Amino acid sequence: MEHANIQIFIATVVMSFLILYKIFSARAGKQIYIRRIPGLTEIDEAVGRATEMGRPMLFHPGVGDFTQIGTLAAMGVLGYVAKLGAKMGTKLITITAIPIVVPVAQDVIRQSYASEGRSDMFDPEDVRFLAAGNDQLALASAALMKQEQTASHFYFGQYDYTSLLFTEPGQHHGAIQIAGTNDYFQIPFFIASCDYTVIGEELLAASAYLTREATMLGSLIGQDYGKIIILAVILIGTLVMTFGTPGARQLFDTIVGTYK
Amino acid sequence: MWKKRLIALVTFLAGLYYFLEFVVPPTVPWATVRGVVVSPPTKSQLVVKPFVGKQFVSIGTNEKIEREMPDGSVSIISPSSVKIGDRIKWRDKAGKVVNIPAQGQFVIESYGSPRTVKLAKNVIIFRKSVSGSDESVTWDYVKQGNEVKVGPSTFLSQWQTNVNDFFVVLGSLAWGMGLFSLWLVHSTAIRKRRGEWGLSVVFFVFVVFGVIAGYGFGNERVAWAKNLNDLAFDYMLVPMGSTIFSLLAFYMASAAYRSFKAKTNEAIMMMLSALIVMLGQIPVGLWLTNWLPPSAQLPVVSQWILYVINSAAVKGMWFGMMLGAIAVGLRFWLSLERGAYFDMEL
Repeated sequence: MEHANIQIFIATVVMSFLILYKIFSARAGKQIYIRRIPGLTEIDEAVGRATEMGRPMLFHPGVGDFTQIGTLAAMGVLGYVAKLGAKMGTKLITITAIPIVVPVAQDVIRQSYASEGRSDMFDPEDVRFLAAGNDQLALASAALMKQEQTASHFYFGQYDYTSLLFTEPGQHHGAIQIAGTNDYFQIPFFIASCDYTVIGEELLAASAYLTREATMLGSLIGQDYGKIIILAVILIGTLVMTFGTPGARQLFDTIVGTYK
Repeated sequence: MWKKRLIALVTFLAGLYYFLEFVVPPTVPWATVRGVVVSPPTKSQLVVKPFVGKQFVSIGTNEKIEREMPDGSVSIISPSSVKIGDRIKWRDKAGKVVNIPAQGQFVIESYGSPRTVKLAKNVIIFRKSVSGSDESVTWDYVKQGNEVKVGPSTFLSQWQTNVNDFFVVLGSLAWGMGLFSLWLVHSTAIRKRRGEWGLSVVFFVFVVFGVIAGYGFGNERVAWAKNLNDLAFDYMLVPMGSTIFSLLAFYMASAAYRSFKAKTNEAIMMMLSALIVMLGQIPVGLWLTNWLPPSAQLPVVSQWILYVINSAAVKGMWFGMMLGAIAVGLRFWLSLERGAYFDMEL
């Protein structure tokens, strides 16, 4: 496994400190504003639509297991969708090809239903391990859409080439589809085949945005401060490398320490 | 409540291990020797020519340089072919290139006098591979001319296999949950005679078939079992998988057709850039713009869109995603995540 060099170690500590500092200052009651993320705002509309039509919803937490950060983020969205579903009395079916996701997803949904006082709605059968391969699961999900007449589909998490195999049948089926992935290569496929797409880091910000918890919002602000630092380093680096003397360039290179 | 606290504790300890494993070097820094092996190694010791100080070397473009490969072989190259990480020799100067500030200018880590490193029990050896990464090896895999890093272990990295095995055990337990979920879905469908319940019967038949066929996996001695295994996997599962995969082509066509409707300014821009990139990838693109100056020809413009504009946007996204990953990781590690896993009780 890769090990941190001194620059990466300092960067990790600084970024972690910023995020934690902002989390704890937000917990202390500091007011925080975050911009609107359309894909996430539309989750309410998608759940509402399924409720109006009296049909179930479908959630797929990606193709990654729990070592993937996208899957962890997807669980936050799953919890929110399940809560809304419980509030409106709409059934949520979760599908996966990763066995370890089954008990975790069941737990997340059970907790969400319980928090809305609708533990009676929980059915372990609604979290379905339909196939051990993602392409087979995509085919099974297409069959499930027809069989259950699902009205709203949510695809959040890590995705691979199978992304379009999941979403395109849903598009033909006429369901409202919202997707989000941190896999850059799959984003165009989601944009082409879904009604709303949450791009890249927005997925990782999703649970913070949806829950509006001070802790979660604080971490978002911490991330933004991290981005400001990165932008400043890029700007200084561009100036030094373009206009700086060889000595200044060497110094910047030594301080920043690139992947060598 | 105790269950949540236990989960939080295990998560914290596992996260702490991986964090420390990442930031703590695999060998004790002040006792580690980095350099090139100068004589055949033995079980008890390695003789290493260590990297010591840095020096600046300026080499003319027409000069020839000796490059020493990780396996010890030597090739003659020009200064323009030198890359960071290469071990070079030019006149009386020799060492490892750590920076190339300008063309023909190199910062190298030069060699010191050979040192003997005793291979005690806790000493680990990392050998630089051809790809440039460090691989942990035993002394008998080290050859004269190899670049190595030798030092007393900090133990954290050595435990990684055991810690990772814990995930394998958890994953295996989860397979049971997955199979239980399958059984639950299909048995309920059969019991309640739900639509297409016949397919659930087929599922159970094929589970039995798969288990029997699995007996033939790698089993050359029992012919019928091997044939059954080949039938199930090579002649049924693989072709069916390919069929599903081929659906992607049709889905791509229909998705692309929808996306390329010029409804908004953004859609028009996307359509135009996609058209340029697609035409730039095929000979027709060059044929169509052959009369233009080279920098305006479609293959060049296509590459510029892909590797300059697109690359800038992608790197911006990556910065955001990596910071987001740190934030999500921290929230989970310290059990600060709210809403999905932990409620306010914790």
